[in-house]
Amino acid sequence: MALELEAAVLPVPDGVRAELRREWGRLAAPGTWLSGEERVAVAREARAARTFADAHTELEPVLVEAAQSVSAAANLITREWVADLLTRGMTIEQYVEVVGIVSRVAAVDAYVRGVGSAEEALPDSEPGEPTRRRNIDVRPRAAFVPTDPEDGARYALSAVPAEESARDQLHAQLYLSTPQMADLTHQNELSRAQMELLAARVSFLNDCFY
Amino acid sequence: MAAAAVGVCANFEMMNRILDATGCPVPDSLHFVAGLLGITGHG
Repeated sequence: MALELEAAVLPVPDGVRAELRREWGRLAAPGTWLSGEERVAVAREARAARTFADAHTELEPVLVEAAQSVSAAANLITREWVADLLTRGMTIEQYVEVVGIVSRVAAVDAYVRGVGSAEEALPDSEPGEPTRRRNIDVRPRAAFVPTDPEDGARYALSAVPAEESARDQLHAQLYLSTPQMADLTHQNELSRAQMELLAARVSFLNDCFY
Repeated sequence: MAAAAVGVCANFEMMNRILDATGCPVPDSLHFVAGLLGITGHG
């Protein structure tokens, strides 16, 4: 079974382990706009980009560029660059799906490395067609991508509901669920202040604009 | 506790990429927080 994390030197909660496995399942399966094969290839390019390498997948060049950029240089992405991807044939929904995949692989890999385990092999892709489920309620706002019902961290991937849902589920296991975030007195093993200090430090090191 | 800290850090490796890649700003509905913190003119 994937993500046994046998080499981990820190205790991995059952809920986190189960969510990481669900994420590997989501990665391998057909998505909303990309096939399972394309999704795994996006993840492969994202990993390779961390060392400024090319994974030489069969992906279209514009998908490779998006995967590599979100993985290794997200802080440099501009509205103009996203618009340029669209002129070269990518749809905004495909872009949002790439962002979702790359960002969650970054989280899984960071967690696995952080608990002392070895990098997990990417899953084999599953056959099937993308669902092509469109969120007709999204609207252009201040973000580079359309959102619903408003901009903000929670709705950044709302143009592709399956990606938004996947982010929400992983977020709840690694950090806090949405209801827990709203409750400023909530804490688990870490106090809320400790969690926010870690969040601020990581965001500073990543030069995140938010 | 250390594993929980790893989880928070991993989560923000995800969120930082999402926010930078989508350019999603703080929504109007949360601008009051900046006012509470005294870090902008909002609120």
